[in-house]
Amino acid sequence: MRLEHRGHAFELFASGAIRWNSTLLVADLHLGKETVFQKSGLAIPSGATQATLHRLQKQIQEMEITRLVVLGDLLHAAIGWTDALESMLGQTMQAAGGLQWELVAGNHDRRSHQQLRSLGWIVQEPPVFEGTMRWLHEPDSPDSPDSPAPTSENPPFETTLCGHLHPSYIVPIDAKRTAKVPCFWIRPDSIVLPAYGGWVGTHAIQPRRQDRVLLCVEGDLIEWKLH
Amino acid sequence: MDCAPLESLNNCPSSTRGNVAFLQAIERWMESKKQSPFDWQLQAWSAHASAHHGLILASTGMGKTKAAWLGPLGNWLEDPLPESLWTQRKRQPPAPPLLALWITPLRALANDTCLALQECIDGLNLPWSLEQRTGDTSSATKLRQRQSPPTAMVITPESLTLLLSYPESLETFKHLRTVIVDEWHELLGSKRGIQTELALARLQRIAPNMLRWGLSATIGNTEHALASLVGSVPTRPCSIIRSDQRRAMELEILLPKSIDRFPWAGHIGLAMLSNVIEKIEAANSTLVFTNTRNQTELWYQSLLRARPDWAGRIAVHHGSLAPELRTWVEQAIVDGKLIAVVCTSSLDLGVDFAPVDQVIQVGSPKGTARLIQRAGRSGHSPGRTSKLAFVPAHAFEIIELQAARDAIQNQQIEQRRAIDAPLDCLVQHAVTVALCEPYTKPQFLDEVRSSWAYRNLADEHLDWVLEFVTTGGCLHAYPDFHRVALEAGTYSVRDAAIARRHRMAIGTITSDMMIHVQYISGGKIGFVEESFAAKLKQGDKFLLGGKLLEMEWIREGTVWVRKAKGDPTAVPRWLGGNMPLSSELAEGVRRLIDQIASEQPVSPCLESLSELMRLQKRWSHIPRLDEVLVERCTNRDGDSIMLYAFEGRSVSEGIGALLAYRISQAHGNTLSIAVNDYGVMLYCAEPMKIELASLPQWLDLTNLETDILASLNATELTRRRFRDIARIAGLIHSGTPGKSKSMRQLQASTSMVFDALKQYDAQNLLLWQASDEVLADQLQIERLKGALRRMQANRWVYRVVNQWTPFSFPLMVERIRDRIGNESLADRIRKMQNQLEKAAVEPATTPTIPTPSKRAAQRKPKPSEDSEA
Repeated sequence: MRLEHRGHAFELFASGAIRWNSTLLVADLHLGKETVFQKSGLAIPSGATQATLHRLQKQIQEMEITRLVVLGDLLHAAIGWTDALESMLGQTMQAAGGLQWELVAGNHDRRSHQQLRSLGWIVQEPPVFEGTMRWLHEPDSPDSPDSPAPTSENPPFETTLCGHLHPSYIVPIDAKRTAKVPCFWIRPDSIVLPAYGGWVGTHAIQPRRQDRVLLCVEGDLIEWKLH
Repeated sequence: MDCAPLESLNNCPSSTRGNVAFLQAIERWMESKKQSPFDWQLQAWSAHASAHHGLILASTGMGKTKAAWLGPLGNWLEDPLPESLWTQRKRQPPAPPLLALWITPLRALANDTCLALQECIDGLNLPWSLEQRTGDTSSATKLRQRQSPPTAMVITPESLTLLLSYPESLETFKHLRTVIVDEWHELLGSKRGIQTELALARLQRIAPNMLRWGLSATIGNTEHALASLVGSVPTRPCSIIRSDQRRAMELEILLPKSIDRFPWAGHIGLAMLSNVIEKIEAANSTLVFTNTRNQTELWYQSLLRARPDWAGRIAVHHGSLAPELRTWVEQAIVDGKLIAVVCTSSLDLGVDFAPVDQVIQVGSPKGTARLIQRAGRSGHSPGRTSKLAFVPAHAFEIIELQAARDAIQNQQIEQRRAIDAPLDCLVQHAVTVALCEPYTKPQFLDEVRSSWAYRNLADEHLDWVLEFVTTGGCLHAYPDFHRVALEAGTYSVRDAAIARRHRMAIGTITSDMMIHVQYISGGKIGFVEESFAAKLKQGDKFLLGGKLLEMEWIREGTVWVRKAKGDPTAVPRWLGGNMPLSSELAEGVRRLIDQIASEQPVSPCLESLSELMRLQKRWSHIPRLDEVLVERCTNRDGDSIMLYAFEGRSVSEGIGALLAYRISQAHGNTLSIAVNDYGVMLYCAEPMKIELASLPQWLDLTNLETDILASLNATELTRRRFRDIARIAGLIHSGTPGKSKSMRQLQASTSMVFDALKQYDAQNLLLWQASDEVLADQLQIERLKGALRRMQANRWVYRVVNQWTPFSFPLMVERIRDRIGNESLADRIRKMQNQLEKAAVEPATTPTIPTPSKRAAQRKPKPSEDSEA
């Protein structure tokens, strides 16, 4: 789905990715999350990490891009970093070919920068400014990811792309039941990406009147009309 | 039934009054208090002295605490331990090591129990120390208790299991002589009961000569209760002790002046408010039992509105109130400060409310055992009469009460079945034991199979459990998992963090997803269910603890409220609101209806239903015991088929779901269902394309399980059921959210865990357990099968009716209830009742067929705007 937003042309995918020119942006993969649970004595089966990477690899191969940017939380925690994960991630990078791999660091990545750099990732602390866009992981305030006024340190920017919230919207299915559906949360001057990872959980958002909500449902993006 | 340990039951040692030294000591002490022991108490003490296990059946207030407790005390008088084995204590004289455990299912009972036990210890002048250990005990005390345990300990099942997870428990329990389980009937049939059984098996291994004693209210399956208490291979002979005194009980029904010919379960007997007020005025103190917390709140409000002068002299008590409030109310009852307390089953158990003179039960108790238990809360001491007044919420409940009365007369009390071999509890236990001491597989198997619940545990299930705690149970899926380490054939826990987390999780079996309600100005009020809290909007008003509260915000897992004026806008929903009629009572109801149908003379309270029954007979039919009644009513509102099984709500639900599913599969009709304890209504706006006479075929038993699971949203039910299983088996981390960073990264909902297992380890036995539990507990598949078999053998009577009959009216109300708001519902039902009354008294004219109004019929659920989700 194409989206014009503050003078930028984006393409949004039901997988939770956003394409901007030849850059693909995703957020919140939480790779290795099952491992973190297993190492802590909780028997959660592996599989989600592998599935997430497969999905990413397939998506990259379907389009012409030169750059992949992760808006934070590529990994779930430092103890989730295993040889197996390193080789899975390496394989995905190799299969995707000569891409530039960038991470805008998130709270979960905090202690894994070194490992990622040695695998070829460019790891930057947020915010990252790209043209008139600002990229970061955690929005300035969870209730309103609106941008603050530019300061002398910050160059002026038009919009913010971020993750961290794992946004979802509670959709009434019938009189008695509701479903929590992951979504893009489009605000007047920011876009919050849904989590790309397969086993990460979501957070129900409460959009305001001027916002837009795009639901990611079984491979399709559907706009949920607010009011 | 397969009960091994029973051959010894009849060799109860006869009463041996006065021929043993310790009995003389006990009698001397009791004489000094102007009491004398009952024969059954003497029997209990002698049985204990002969080293029997035993189960004491008596209702509260009969002296069962003494019956159980003086056994181990007497044992000390006979056989004290040399002082060289006593425990040295700081700043206190040495005391004997841990000799007796008193397991109580309710934390709230621990204080009172301690007082009662201490009185005996003091009375007999024993050097014993007595302490309690529950979730409320401070961690400093808990640590000291592990280092120097008291002689006797009052403990909850969770705290006991936790204590057993420490290596020093091998030392702590070494001298243990007797363990007494209080309110065993409450634990039986729950996973806490299973936890207790496993703990008993463990204790028996540490202290092989330990005697097991249990205290229970009267239940239908005593042998089963004894068997689960003493285990599959009892180490000693077993005795069952019954208090021979039966409590005199007066049951009275408060009948309204006129009985509605068209009863419905919606109003809750508030029409009887003035009669209830009279009753309360006539007594010193009264407990008013209702079946749900909502009714409790409503009755409290209504009483206050009618009698504003009672403010401060009446109170409300239910399980969702903050413990401090509950304790206050309980103490106020004991002190005689209150004239009435409106309560739910939260006051069924425990604290001795000697001052209560009478009990008023609003609505059917739905079970005989519950009725006895509640009646027993009044006149709570030996030799006094229990008084219970019953307020029927609708006409049919009069039949239920009469059935309960008959059951009490004939001693037919409901059975309580223990759960069989749940794997989640075993997973937890496998880790708990590994924390205490390394074990081998045969050792563990022996110990576990010695408990009744796991006596038939299959080898492959044990293998799976041990695999699960060591490798996750499915090798390639869990490469980094190791909760329990397996080395050279022994299982143990190495990781201190895993040990800590497991101990934190042990106590969580009973925790529902409840969330605190607190004043912004400070002060806790109680809890509401998380799902209710999630739906609250700012400004919503709801009742809790007898107060009207306005929701301000939800933060940090707490609903913050302030006091409000006006009327409630939201009604909290608590689980367990709809108790189904017990199958024993349902059978009683069928018999009474048969009596009425055959026009035999009936008891006076059923006489009051004669108008209603005559009308049912005139317009339709009253089923005999060997008949199944089906009614069909087609009017401008649609086509309705009513089937009366009289088997309780859960069976009605099963029948309804099955019929709706099979018929819609065959004919494509979309049917809606309404159920109550007596029957089920199938409803369709268009005519249903089925013949009434084909109904028995639609209820065929082949493929029953598959169809039932397919008919209900089985995945959703299983997912919900899995919540507890995941918590018990330690699949989720149950620490306080946000407590520390390392824990925050372990947050996952049980629903997410369920998804992960379904997707990546679908063979996981815990998933199977969840769907088994849905079938067995929730859908009561066995009861449903029994009912269907009975009905298949019966004669079916089909009646096409022109208007709602007394039997079908309550079902029709159930059906439209979902669509209409509560307030307008009451008005509409009154209107329909009036119309039907008119039809009933003017049989000559063509009856007008009342329908639940056009507006209601048109307000079908809106189709979702989102076509995909």
